[in-house]
Amino acid sequence: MPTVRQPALRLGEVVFCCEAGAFSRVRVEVPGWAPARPGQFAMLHVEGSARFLARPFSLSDEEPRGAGAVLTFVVAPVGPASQELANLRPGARLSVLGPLGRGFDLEEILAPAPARGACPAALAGSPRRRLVIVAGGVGIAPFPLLLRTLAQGGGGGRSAPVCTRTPLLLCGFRDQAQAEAVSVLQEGTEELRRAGMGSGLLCATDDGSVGFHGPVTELLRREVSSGDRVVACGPPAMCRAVWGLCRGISDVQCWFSLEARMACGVGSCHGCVIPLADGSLAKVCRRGPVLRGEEAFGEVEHDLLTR
Amino acid sequence: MIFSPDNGALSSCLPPGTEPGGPLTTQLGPLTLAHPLINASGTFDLLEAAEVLGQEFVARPPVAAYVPKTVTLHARRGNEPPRLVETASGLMNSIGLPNQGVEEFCRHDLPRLLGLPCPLIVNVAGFTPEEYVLAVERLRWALDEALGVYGSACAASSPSAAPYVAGRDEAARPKPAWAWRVGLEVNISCPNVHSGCMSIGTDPDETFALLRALREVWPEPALLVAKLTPNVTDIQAVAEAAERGGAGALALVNTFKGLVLDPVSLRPLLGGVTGGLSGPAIKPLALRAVFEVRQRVGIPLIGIGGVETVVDVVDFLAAGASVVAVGAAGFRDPCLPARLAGELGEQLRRRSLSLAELIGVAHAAG
Ligand SMILES: Cc1cc2nc3c(=O)[nH]c(=O)nc-3n(C[C@H](O)[C@H](O)[C@H](O)COP(=O)(O)OP(=O)(O)OC[C@H]3O[C@@H](n4cnc5c(N)ncnc54)[C@H](O)[C@@H]3O)c2cc1C
Ligand SMILES: Cc1cc2nc3c(=O)[nH]c(=O)nc-3n(C[C@H](O)[C@H](O)[C@H](O)COP(=O)(O)O)c2cc1C
Ligand code: FES
Repeated sequence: MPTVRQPALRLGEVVFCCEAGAFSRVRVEVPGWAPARPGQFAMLHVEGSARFLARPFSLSDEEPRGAGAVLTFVVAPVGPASQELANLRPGARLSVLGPLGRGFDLEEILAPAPARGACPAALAGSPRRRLVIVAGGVGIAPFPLLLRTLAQGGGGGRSAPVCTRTPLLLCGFRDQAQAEAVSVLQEGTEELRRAGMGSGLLCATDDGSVGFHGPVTELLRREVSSGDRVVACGPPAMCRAVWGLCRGISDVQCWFSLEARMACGVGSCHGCVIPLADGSLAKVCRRGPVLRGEEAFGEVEHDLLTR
Repeated sequence: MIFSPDNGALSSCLPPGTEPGGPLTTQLGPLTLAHPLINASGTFDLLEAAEVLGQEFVARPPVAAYVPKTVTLHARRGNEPPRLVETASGLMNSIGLPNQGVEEFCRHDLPRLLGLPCPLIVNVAGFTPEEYVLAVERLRWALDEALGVYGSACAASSPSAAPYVAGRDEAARPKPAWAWRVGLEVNISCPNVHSGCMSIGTDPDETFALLRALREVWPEPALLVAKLTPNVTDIQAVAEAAERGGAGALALVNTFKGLVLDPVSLRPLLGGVTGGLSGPAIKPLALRAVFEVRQRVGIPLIGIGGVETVVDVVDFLAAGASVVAVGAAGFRDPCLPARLAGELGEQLRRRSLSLAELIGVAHAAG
């Protein structure tokens, strides 16, 4: 009988590390790794590091290897722990606690829109309906695994529903160096193409060096339309702006992957709470990191949201 | 690290020598612990860990006794975020004791925690002495109801029929049948709330009065632990007051009050403004507290503060602690206490010492 693999603390070894624009792409082989959902994360701590706590990083990709997997992380070097991770060499060892949190629930996100009076046949699985993926900076990290999962859905080994929507990726970056990170999506988009699914990709940069000159939310404003589903990951201001835009459009639902400082990642410390729309505090590591727009932001003032 | 090749997990299994009755068995008042390693309150949620990492955590906890997060009389939201930030060799937190309140705790968590195969030490705090007493009374009713009372015929079926009356004869007092498996830790040391709690634990007279009052509702032989704050000039005076008041053991220390500024805005970074420092940065300070308190009191001590490696465990035991609690270092590895227990066994064998010989050895002449 095959043993059910559970989330656990495991020892991983770096097998590959390269630059991806301003970020680093770190591949870690982890024996016994339990398969993850897109949007889940792991707590990483480099063996022998002077950092006291592990840090949360989104699972960017996952390929089975033996009785485990090779995991990919996309790391923005913003402080001591992330710099240390971004500069690891093959052979380096780190502890990996995961997969953790509730990722993107594709059953829910891809569920057909409820037919409201109108001709149900026209609504069901209409190919014009899109799954709009909005990434800001290193918020691109969870989406390679999301694309791979979509491509493998409906029988491709991963338990995901058949994707009835066309993915449209909108990626915002600061400058050209950051924008080179868009390469991390390449494998995922190719796998989608091989699975007979098209996808679109548009970039925006703050300095106009690549793609659209301006915020990624401006691209979203032009692209999003009634019936779309939106998943987003990026800076809090971007997420709120995405919600501010989308909540006014009929039949658009949004999911956000959110961040907080974490100590444990498993619900022990109460450190990672954020205020929800209803005023309560929720642990990002347990309730999230992916939350619905209504849960996370609710009825926030529109102009506040769009800045 | 304990590395089990079958699934690559850093195992949660208790290492050999740490089973009940083994050479690491240690006594904490009426509680028998299979080894001297437990968790520090608020740093390990066994029920949450079991949900995330598997029910193995409940079946075979990585601690010799489990200490849940502080419970207060009423439910609390806790402090606003951000609540955490790493600092040099440590962690600053201002969590602010969020919890569901003692009523919900007794209804929801307690029945599950009583099913654990190890003793339970419930941690209670209050904002006035009355709140401590009421919360502990509620807890005691729940325990009497679930586990029964000696010396009171009707108690097991109807605990409220045998209400405790303060000042009654010692002999007539119903004895808790659960004293050998459930203890109480009173948190008089949290620096992240604005009244009660640490303000009691910084004053020997208030500490004495509170422990006295709690002994009335939490009678002998049940374990009563006072968790002390290091944010005092003279921790020995508070420790002696707690012992005189009726504490059966002391836990030291809670976090050191501190401050972190946001590097950009230069305003306090944590939502609670100030916070409590824990982690390796505080270990020598905590070790000093255990060492000095051991010189003045006879009751068992639980050593807490920056425990990360077996060297830290050995140090706290040598300084006079009978039990050592893992706090923030357990965030990185929820099974750290079990691992350290295994390593402690090896250390004792290597030094040809028994656990009893190690405890307090730092005080021996020469
Ligand atoms: C669920 C989750 C998934 C994540 N996935 C990724 C990922 O895939 N790739 C990636 O590069 N990063 C990711 N992060 C963020 C990453 O965890 C932090 O950048 C990292 O912990 C920073 O640690 P450090 O020691 O390098 O920097 P620190 O010194 O801790 O921080 C550097 C700077 O970032 C700020 N900061 C740090 N953590 C946070 C936070 N959680 N929220 C707001 N500000 C913060 C600090 O104030 C400081 O200005 C994720 C975070 C979460 C919660
Ligand atoms: C995030 C966090 C939450 C804590 N919550 C509690 C608590 O609820 N009750 C309590 O008595 N102590 C609490 N503490 C204090 C710890 O139990 C312990 O005394 C302290 O952290 C020192 O140990 P350490 O250095 O090993 O972490 C908390 C500490 C941390 C870091
Ligand atoms: S990170 Fe500890 S509770 Fe979420």
